[in-house]
Amino acid sequence: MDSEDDMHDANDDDYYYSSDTAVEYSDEDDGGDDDGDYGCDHIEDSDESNRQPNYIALKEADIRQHQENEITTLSTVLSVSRADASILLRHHRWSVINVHEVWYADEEGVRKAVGLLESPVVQFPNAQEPTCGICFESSPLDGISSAACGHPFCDECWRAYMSTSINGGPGCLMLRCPDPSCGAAIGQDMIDRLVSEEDKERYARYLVRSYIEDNPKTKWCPGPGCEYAVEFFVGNENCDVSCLCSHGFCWNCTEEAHRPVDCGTVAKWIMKNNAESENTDWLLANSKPCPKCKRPIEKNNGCMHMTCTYPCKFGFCWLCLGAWSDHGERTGGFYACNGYEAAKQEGVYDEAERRRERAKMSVERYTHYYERWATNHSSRQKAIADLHQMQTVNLKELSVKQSQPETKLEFVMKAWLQIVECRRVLKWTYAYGYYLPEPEHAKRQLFEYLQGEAEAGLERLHQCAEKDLQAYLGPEPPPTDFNDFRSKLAGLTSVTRTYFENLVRALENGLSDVDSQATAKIGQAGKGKGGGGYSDYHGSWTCDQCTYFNTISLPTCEMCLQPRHNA
Amino acid sequence: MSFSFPSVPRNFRLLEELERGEKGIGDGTVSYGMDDGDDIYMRSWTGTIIGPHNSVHEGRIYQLKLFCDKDYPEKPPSVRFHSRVNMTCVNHETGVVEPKKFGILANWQREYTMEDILTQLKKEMAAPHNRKLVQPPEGTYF
Amino acid sequence: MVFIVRYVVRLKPKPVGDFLLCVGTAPGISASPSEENMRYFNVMILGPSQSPYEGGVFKLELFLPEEYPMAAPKVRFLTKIYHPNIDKLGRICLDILKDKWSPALQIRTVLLSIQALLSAPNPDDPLSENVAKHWKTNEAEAVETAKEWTQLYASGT
Repeated sequence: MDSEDDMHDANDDDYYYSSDTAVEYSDEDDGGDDDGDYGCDHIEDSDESNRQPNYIALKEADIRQHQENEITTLSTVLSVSRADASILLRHHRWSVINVHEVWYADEEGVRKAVGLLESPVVQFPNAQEPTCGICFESSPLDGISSAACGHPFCDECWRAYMSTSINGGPGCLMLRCPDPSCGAAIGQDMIDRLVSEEDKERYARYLVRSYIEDNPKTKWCPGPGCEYAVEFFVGNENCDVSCLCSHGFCWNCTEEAHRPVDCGTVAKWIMKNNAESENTDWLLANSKPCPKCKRPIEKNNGCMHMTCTYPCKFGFCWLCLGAWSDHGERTGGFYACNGYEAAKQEGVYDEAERRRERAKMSVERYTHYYERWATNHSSRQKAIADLHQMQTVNLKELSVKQSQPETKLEFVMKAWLQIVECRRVLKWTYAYGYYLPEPEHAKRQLFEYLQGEAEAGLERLHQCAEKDLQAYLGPEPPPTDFNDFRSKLAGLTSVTRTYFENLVRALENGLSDVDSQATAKIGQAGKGKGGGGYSDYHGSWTCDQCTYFNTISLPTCEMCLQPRHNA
Repeated sequence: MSFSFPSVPRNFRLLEELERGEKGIGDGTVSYGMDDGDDIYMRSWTGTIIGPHNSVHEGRIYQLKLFCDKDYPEKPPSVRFHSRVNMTCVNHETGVVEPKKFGILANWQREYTMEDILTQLKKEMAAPHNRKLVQPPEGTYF
Repeated sequence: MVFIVRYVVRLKPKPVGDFLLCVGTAPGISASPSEENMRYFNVMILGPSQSPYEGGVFKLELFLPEEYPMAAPKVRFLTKIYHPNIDKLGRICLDILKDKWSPALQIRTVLLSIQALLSAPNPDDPLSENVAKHWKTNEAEAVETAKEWTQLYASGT
C-alpha cells in the first residue's frame, strides 16, 4: 500500500465540500431520499432515526420462546397435542400459516405424509410378556412401548434406536416407527420419556436448530462463537444485518457484510482467496457441495448414490453430481459415470497444473488487491480492538478529565464505529476493483479516484479519533477547547459517513453514471492517491472465468476458452 | 470363543478401504485405488504419494503397488514402489519396501490400513536420513 | 435348502440376547456363521424360478457390524452375476441396506429382499450402468446374458 503520507497530503480541506467531486452525482440518481448535502448540519445524526432495521436479533431464550409460541398456537387451533403440532411445523418450515392451509385442504393427506395416526394400526399385544420386534425377547408389559401405531418394541431397543438416530444428525427429528411398513412419527414426548439426558438435550438442540435453519425467515449469525439468530423481514433491499454480537453479515449469503460488492463477487473473491490455501484442497478432495442445497456433503459410506441429509434429501451421483433420477441413460453409470470419466481423462494432475499456471499468470495482479483487502481487514480488526479499549477504559478517563458525563461523549464512540464500518467498505472495494473489467478505463479511473478519496477521508477521521483525542487524555493542556474537538470529530464522522454511503451506492450502481463528462471532470485524479489500481496491464484483458491475462486482440480466453466479457 | 467384538472380515474391510479411497484422503497427497475392478477378492492396488515439502521429493509423484493377500489385514500387504525412488527402506533393485526397515510393516497390526502405509512412507521421505538423498530421474520405473 | 440357525449374539445394549435368524422359513436361502467370526456368515441364495438366474446357486457373504441391529448388515455377492443393481465387486444397491434400514428388519428379510431383487431387477436405480442400459434397450438380450452368466458362474460345484 502507498505510504500514509500519500493519503494525508491529499487536498486537505476542500474536498468534502466542493460540489464538483464525483461522488455527488450518485446522490442525484437515488431519488433524492437524502439531500446529498455534505454540510455540517448532519452532525446531530438526525438521519439515523428513520433507518428502522428490517431485522431483529434473537437470543437463545427468544428462539425457544418463539418456537414454543408457534407450537402452542398451532396445537390450540388444530386441537392436536404439542408433540404433534411440533411435528407438523417441522414438516412445513415452521410456518403456522402453511400448516393451516394444507391441514384444512386435506387433513388426511397431511396426516399420512407426516405420520400422525389417528388410531393404532395394530392392537397393542395383551400378552403378559410381548415380544420385542427388534431383539425378539419378551419383556414385561411396562418395559414395552409403541408409537401411535401400536408396534411393540422393548424400551432398551427403543433407546438404542432413538440414540442411533439422534447421534446420526438432525434427521432424528423425522424419526418414524422402526417397523419397516409403518410411517408413524415419533414425537418429542416419546423421545424425552425414553432416552438419556444427554440425548434428550441433543434432540432439543436439533429442534431449536431446525426452527432457525428450516425457517426461511431466520438464520444463525455466522459470527465466530455467536449463538444468536437473526429474523429478517423482507421489503428492504439492504441485506446487511448486524447481530447483537456486533458481527455484521449479509442476509443473502451470510458472508460478512460486504456492501458495495454483490454476493456473487464476494463468493468468487473468497473462493479465490481460499484457492491459495491448502485448506481448500482438502475440502475439494473430501467434500462436494450438494448440487441442490449447496451444503458440503462428505461421502462416508455406501455406493455413489448419495442422498443429501434432511431436509434437502436430494439424490445425486457422487462422481458427476448429477441428479440420480436422470442418471440412467445419460451417464456412464455408478462406477463408470461418463461425466466423471470424461473429466478424469484430462487428468487430476493436469487440472492442478493448469491451476498453478493460471495462478502464476495472475498472481501479481491478485496480490496487489489481496494485500490491500487484507490490510484493511486487519486495520478493521485493530479498530474494533481500539473501539473496545475506548469503550472500557478511555471514555471513563475522558469523562473525568473533561468533566463531561459519558452520555455527552457518545460522539467518540460514533466516530470509532464509523471507522470500523469504513474499513469494512474500503476492504471490499478492493474485491470490487479486482473484478472491475480491465478495458473499462473510464470506470476504472473513476473508481480509483473515489477509492483514493475515501481512503484519504478515512485517514483524516482515524487520525482525529486516535491522535487528536490523546491531547485531551494527557497531562498537557489541550491545544483547543474540548468543544472545538467535539465539533471537529463529529463533523468528520458525519462527512465521512455520507461520503462512504454515497460511495457504496455509486459502486452498487456499477458506476453506471460514468460518462466522458464525468471522467473529464476527474481527469487529474490518476496521480498518486492512496487508492491502488492496477493499471500496468492495459494491453490485456482479464478472463472473468479464470482470471488469466489475455492479449487485447484475443476474442476468447487463451486459458479456458471462455468468450471475452462483452465490454 | 473370544468375548471381544469380532473384527471386520477381510473382504468387508477392503470394501471399506476402497470406499475411503474413492472419497479421497486428507490433503490429497496420498491416494490409492484398485488395480483390477473385476477382482472380487480385491488383491491388487495402486497407491500414489506426492513427495512432501522440504525434501528432495517435493512435487514428485510416486506410484506404488500394494498386494493384499488372503491373510490381509492379519498380515500386512506387500508393498513396492513402481516409480524409481532412493530411500533407505526401499530395495534398490526391485523397489520393494523392506518390512524389516519400515516400522509399520515390521510391527503390523490389523487396524492399520493401506492409507496408513502410504502416509507413513510420505513421512519417511521427509525424515532426515531420506530427505536429501539423490533421486533417480523423474518418470523412471523399477 | 431349509435349515434353522438359532444363535447367540452379544448385542450391545443387552448382555446376552437370544437371537433367532429364522432362515428356515425361507426356501432357497441359507446362511451359516463362519467358525472364526460369529458375525460373519456364508450365504447361499438359489436363483428364483422364472428368472434368468433360475438354476443358479449364488454365494454371498454377510457381516453384522458392531452397531447391528441399529445399522444394516453388510452383504455382497461372491458369485459373478449379471444384474443392473449389482456391481462387479458384488455390491448391492438396495434401499434397505442403506437409508431404508430398520432395526426391525432381520437377516432373513434382508436375504429375502435380495432374492426378490433377482426376480425383479430395477434398471431405473442402477449400480451397474452398462448392465442397466442393456436391460432397458434390449431386455431379451440382457436376460440371455444373465442366463449365460448363471450357467457360467453359478451352476454350482
